[in-house]
Amino acid sequence: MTYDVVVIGGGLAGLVAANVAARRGKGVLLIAEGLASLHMATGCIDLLGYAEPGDAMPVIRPWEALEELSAQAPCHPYAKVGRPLVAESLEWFAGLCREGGCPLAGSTGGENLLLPTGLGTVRPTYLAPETMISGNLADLSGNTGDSGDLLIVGFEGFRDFYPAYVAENLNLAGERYGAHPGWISNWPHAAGVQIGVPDSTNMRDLSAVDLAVRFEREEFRRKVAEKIKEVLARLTCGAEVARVGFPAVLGLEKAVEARHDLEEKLGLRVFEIPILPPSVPGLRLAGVLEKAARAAGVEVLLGSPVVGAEVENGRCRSVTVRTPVRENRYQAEAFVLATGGVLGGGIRVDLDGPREPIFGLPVGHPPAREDWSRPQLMAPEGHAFLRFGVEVDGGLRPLGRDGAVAIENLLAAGSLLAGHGSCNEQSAEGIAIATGYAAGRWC
Amino acid sequence: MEKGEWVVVIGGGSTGTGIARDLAMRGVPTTLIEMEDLASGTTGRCHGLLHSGGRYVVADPATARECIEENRILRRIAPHCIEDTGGLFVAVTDEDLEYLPRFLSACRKTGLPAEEISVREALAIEPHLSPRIQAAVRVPDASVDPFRLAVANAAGAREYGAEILRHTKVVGLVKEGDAVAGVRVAEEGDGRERVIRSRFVVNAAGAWSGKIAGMAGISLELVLSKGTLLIFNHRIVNTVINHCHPAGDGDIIVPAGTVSILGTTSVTVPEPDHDRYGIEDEEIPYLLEKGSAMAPFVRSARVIRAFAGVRPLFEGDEEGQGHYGHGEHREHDDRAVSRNYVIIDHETVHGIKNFLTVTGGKLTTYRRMAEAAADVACARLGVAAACRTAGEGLPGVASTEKPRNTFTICECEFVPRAEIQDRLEKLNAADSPQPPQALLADLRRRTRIGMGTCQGAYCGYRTAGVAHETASFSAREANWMLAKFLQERWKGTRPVLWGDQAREAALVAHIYRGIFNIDEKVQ
Repeated sequence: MTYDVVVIGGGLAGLVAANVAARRGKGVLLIAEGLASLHMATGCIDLLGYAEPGDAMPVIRPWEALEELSAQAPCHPYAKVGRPLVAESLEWFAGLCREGGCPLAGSTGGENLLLPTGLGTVRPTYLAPETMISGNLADLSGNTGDSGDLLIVGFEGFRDFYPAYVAENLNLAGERYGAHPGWISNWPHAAGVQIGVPDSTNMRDLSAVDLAVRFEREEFRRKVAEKIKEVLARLTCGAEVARVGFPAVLGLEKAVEARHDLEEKLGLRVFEIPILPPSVPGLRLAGVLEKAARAAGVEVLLGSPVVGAEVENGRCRSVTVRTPVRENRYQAEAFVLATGGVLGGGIRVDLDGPREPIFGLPVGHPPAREDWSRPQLMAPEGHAFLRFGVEVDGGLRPLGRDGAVAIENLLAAGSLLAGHGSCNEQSAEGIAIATGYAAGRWC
Repeated sequence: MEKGEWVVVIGGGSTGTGIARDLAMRGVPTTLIEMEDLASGTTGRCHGLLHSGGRYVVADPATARECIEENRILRRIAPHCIEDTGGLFVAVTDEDLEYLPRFLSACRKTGLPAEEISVREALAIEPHLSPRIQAAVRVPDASVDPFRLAVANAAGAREYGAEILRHTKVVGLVKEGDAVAGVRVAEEGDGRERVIRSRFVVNAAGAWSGKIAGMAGISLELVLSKGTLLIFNHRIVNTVINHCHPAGDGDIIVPAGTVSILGTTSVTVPEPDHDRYGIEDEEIPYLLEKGSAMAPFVRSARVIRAFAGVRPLFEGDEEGQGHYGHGEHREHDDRAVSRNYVIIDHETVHGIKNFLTVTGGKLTTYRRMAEAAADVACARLGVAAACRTAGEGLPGVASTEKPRNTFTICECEFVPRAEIQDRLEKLNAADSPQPPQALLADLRRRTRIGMGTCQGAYCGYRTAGVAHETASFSAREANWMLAKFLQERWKGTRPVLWGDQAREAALVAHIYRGIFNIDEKVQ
């Protein structure tokens, strides 16, 4: 079977590359081994949250920080792609999400948002699902942002969200951020309450997806809203509550509608808060991207790993996919490798060092295993093993051991790339979209 | 009589809790003092193997005899802490085959039930065993949960009126002339010191017993031996697997709950604090190499954690030290130092009254050590009551499980929320205040949260949430306990950062740094 482009990896970078290539008229096959890393993400699009590892305060204006970073670190994926294309890719991506019914929102002035998390900490991000935006705590130019006190709502029997804990931590976060220039000075007060899950008689564990399915039903939302109104009536400081925060479970696909409906029923603004994986907002994004890819003609092969590649005279001819019954080969003119970093499985770590398992591309690493990580889990400089990745040239073509392009018709994108510390930088989605977009354009 | 006025026991491991229960059952008012948590020292840092005695039967038959006797007693009094996995000794090399007849004959002489089974049968029981094994012998080894055992002993001691002070450190001994008259302790939180007077002090501080004895000006000849162990993410064996040869490194694999443990090494170290010693990079391939002789599968199995404990081995053998050991002593080799225990009545040996040290020994024989130590203490105190611990079951033995709230907090170890809440209540109702930063670690020893494949990635957050919700900890305290817990889990994951566990570690970083944006300045 022959294609113009084979994209390996069903995460954010691979989905973007496949969409872009297909829209250029290419015949694209997307091969994904398992559930994409989007299912573990927040659903937000981080661009650059922290300029230097260990910075106590997040970046306020990410584009300026991105330019500085690109100048200082020419190996960073942002430097390879360049700011104009990064900006273009995000604009394109936002358009795709809007068309797909999962609109993203951000500040008009290009500042970072500051959104609550399921721990009650706050994190910087650049674009957020519209369903999260009313939780913003950053002071944004161009619009006043949201304001008003917060009621954080959780559900009895839902083990992945503790509203009182979240609320108390949000109030603590105010001590850190509220006094700091750049972030809002009138930090809101948060209170947390737990309500019963309407019509829930069986006491089995509830997952985020279980709740998301229920939130798609109007009747369920009505009962939730009634319970919250009862709480608000009892709450002594309830008069000040302007925003109601839920764990990010407000509907699998129809979250925008569910949120609007809840806002009407409550007469208050409603927002979602990202929690432990699996991520419902991530599932929504993955769904939008996959649907768009199929609509653009991308063939999608799910659930089977790529186990090898046929490389001849510096060109990749085909990749081999293992299915339960046999191995299939897929030929293409160009290949995009977007299999992720250590977390996604694109980089395997062996006892003697990391490797890229499909093409055997070199992965730089410190020789001693003890230097792959720091003794402190939360070490400000982050861990080397989270930065294991594949070096590429300016055209995202992976380099061999000799520093020359290894395979001329192979491009790499996303977390697989070396040169970034996305876990500490809070830049994973920006890198995935920018490099996936570039790879889709350049393949 | 006021509580704690008679005996202070130092050390909350299997021995110390065993002594406290033994004394309390004899009607002796007892206070146990543990600097960290029950079973947080050497007790909780071992294989969790209830020895049949097979390991010692050739070199040290007296220890082997004690093991099999205690093995039978513990199966009676602590069945809820024991899983009767059975054990196999497997001969792999020709040298092992030469050792085999000596092993079998020693088992017969010692009264240790050992049954040779066919290789085919052994491979049917344990398919991961090396196809190259040449012989297999079945023995009554078992897997024991050391945390549960120590906690049950402490609970038993409390039932009989003993006071259990955790997170309380002995910083000095109170001396009156040539007698010990109590201890000076500091609480973990504020370090506030106070004196607890007693008629007698039992030093059961394990690897730290040399330090405690030093507070009375006594120098003990302890060999501290670090043992490193690896944990696999599931039960790669269902039976305890021993290499049938003279005891060596990496030659035992024990199924422990949902995981399995391979160990150990044996390296002499100068200090007892296990935290001081990292796991050396080269120890891991070394252990895997040793273990793969019995079960080659260990090379490809997923290692989720490495940890080390420090054993106190007693080397002194001068007359009059009350040395109960039967082992022979060899220099330069930890493995040759007896695994038997010793009780030193410091009045006889050093002229210091009302003070004894019990050290050496092993988890399997903790009850017998406790009995012997309590006998000496009671003789000195003029208490005639006899030991009853061999006949009475530990708390929890007869309990029927309550219907539980089924929400699962830890999906790797299947720990329900009700169990966590129950344990939280008990910890909060303990004799000494629960330091919040240690709460999740203390819960872990009692429930096994965070001890499975994900090493706290999910249950860390959830348990902090439950602690905040139900046990009146502030968010700041919950954050603090979560950060401590994750760091403690990281300590064991870091040495085994390859394969799927590297991915798991990346997930932990992704969740707590990436999604929750925690930094090192957790509030």
